[in-house]
Amino acid sequence: MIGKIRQQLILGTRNPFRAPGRRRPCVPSKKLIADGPVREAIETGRTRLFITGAVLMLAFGCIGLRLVDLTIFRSVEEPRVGRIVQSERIETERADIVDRNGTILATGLPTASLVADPKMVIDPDEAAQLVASVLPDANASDIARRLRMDRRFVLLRRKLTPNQQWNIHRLGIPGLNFQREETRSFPHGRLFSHVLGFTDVDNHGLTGIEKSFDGRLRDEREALRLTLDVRLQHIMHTALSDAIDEYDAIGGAGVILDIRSGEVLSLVSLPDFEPSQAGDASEEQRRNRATLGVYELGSAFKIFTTAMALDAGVVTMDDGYDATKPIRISRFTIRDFHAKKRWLSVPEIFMYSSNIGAAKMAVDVGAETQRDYLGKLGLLKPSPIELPEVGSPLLPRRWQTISTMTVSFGHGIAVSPVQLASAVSAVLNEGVYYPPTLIKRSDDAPKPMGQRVVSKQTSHDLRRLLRLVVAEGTGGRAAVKGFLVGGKTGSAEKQVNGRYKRSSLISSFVGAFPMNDPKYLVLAILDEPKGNKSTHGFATGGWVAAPVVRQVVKRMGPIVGMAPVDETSPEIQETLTVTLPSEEPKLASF
Amino acid sequence: MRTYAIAGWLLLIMVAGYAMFRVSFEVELLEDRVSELNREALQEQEAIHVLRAEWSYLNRPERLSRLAHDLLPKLQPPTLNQITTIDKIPTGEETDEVLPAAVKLTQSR
Repeated sequence: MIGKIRQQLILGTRNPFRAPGRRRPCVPSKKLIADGPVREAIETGRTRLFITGAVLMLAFGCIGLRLVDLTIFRSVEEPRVGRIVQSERIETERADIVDRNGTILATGLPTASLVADPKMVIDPDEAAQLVASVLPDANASDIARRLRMDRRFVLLRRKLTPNQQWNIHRLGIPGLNFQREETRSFPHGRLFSHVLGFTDVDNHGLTGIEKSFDGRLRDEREALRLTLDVRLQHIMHTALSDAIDEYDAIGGAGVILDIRSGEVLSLVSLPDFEPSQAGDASEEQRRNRATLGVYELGSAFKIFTTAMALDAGVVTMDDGYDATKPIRISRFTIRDFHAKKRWLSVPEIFMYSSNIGAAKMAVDVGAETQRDYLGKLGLLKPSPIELPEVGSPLLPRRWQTISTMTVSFGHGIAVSPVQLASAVSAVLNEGVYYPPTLIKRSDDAPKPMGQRVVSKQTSHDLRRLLRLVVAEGTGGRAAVKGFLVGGKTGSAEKQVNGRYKRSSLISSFVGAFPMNDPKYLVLAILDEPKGNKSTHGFATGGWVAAPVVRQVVKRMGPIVGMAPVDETSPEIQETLTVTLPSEEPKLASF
Repeated sequence: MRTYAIAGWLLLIMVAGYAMFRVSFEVELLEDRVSELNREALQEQEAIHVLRAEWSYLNRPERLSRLAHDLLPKLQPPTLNQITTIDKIPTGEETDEVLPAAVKLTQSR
C-alpha cells in the first residue's frame, strides 16, 4: 500500500500537500485506484505533514522576528547606556581644596579596605593566620573570630597600603575582597593643619575648612580655592617656628593679610600637628591660636586709639599730652614702659608707646565713641572668618573710665590675632574695613563692599606713625631696606589666675608694607617668649616678634612681585615724614 | 518573469539583511571599544589625580628648600639688592665699556 502511495508521489500525479477538500477532480485512472484504507492513510499523512510544517514555520518565524528584534530594536528593551562607562570625570567623595595658585592642599586618594564574606571562607583559622602574617599589628585570633561570624560581610581592615593590598591579594584566600574607599590626604602635612582641619574615617569634616565647608565639599566637584598661598604660608611657618625655638616660646601665631581685599594669605598657629594623625594631637596642638585664641595684645591697640582720636577730631597730629606722671585711678596706676617724663606730642605718644598718653587720649575720645570705633573695626564681635574655631573677644564687663583707659593700650580687652590683623588693615586701607576671608572669589565676581571706619586723612596719618615706629621707634628690628615697613610693637603681660604675671608676655608685632601705599599686613605673635643674650634679656614685641615680620617681609617681597624702592627719595619722604616737635637723640630701638 | 522578480526580491532581502546585521554587529563592537576606552580614560584620570597629589606632596616648600640646601649649596635666596627695575639698568649707548659681553649681546637684538 505504501509502495503505491510512493509511486503516486514519484509520478507526480497527486499533490500530497493539497488539502483534501479542494482537490482538483482528476481523471480517473484505471491503473491506480486509491480507495478504502489506502486513501485513509494518505489523508492522515497529509494532515500530519501540514501540521508539522506549520509548527516549524511558526517556530522559525518567531526566531527570525526575535533575531531582528534583538539586533535592531534591542535598545528598547535593554538600555545600552548602562554598559558604557562615562569618562567625563572621576567621582570623588569630597572636592579638593587648593591654594590661590591651584596647588593641592587636600584631596581624596583611593585606598582599599579588606572585607570578607565569612560564608565563602573555607578555614577561618588558617585564613586569619595568613592575613595576620601580612598585616603588621594585626591580631590573628581577632580576625578568626570575625571570619566565623554568621554574616555575609565583615570589615577586617581599613585603608590598606598598596603594598599590603598586593600581599593579601597574593595569598589568594577565597572569600576575602577589597572595597574601594577614599582617604582624605593633605600633601602639605602640618603646614595647613589648623586652617584646613581634618576629617573622620567616613570623610566628614571635623574642624577647619573641612568642617565649615563640609556640605560644599561633598556636593560640588569643583575644587575649593582658598586665598592662602603655599609659599607665604611656608615663609611664615618657618620664621615663626624659628623664633619660637630661639626664644623658647610656648607657641605663636602668624597672619598675612592682603590689606586691600581682606584676603588671608597665610594663617599659622604653633604648635601644630600632622593632620593624618590628628587623633594623637594634644589639645594645645589642635588649638588654633590665630583665630580661636584671644589675647590681650597690648600696645597694638594704640593704633586704634590714635586713629579714633584723630578721626573724631579730638586731637591733631600737633597736639599732645603731659606724660610726666603716672595716672592713678582707683587702685590702679598706669605708667609708661619707656617713660619720657615730659609732654609728648601725638606722634611721640605713638612712637614711644606711651600708655599715659594713650589713656588720656582715650578719655578725651570718650567711652561711647571708643566702643563705636572698636565695633566698626570688628573687635567687639567674633571674627567673620570662615572657620568654625573662632574665639569671642573678651570685653570689659562695665565700660568705665578705667576700662576706657586700659583698652586704649590693649589691656582689659582680649581679641584674636586675626581680628587684630583685619582691624589694623582697615586703618591702613584708606580707612575701609574688609572682613577677613579664606575663600578666593572668582575673578569675575564683584568686589565686596568695604565699610568705612576712619577717613582717608586719618589713614594716611596712621601710615606715617607706623612708619615712624619702625624707622625711629620700638620697631626698628622689623625694618627691611627698600620695603618701607611700618608697624607697631605690642607686649602684654599674661593673666594667670586673674593676676598679671610679669614674666609671661604675649609679644607681638603688627607690620605692613610698603608704607607709602600698604599692600600686605604681617602679624607675628609669640606666646611666653624668653629673652636671651641676643635680645639683652628682653622678650618684648620689638625684640622677639619684629624680627619675625622682618624675615617674612624680606622673603615674601620678591614672591609677591614687589621691588624695593629708594627710601630716601623725596616723594616717599614727603608722604611719610612726621615732624616731631622736639629734637631728641635717636632712640635705641626696642 | 514572475520567478525572476521573486528571486530578485529574495536576493535584495538577503543582501539588505546581511548588511543590516553586519552594521549592527559592527556598532556593537565599536560600543564595546568605546566603553573600554572610557574605562581606560577613567583609569588614567585616576592615575593623574593621584600623581597630582604626589606632585603637590613632592613640592612641599620645606622639602624643596631642604633639597636646594643639600644639592645646590651655592644657591641662596635672592637678596633685595639683586632686584631692580628695568629702567635702572644702564642702556648700552652710555656705558658700552663697563657692561659684560653677555649684556651687550642681549641689548643689540
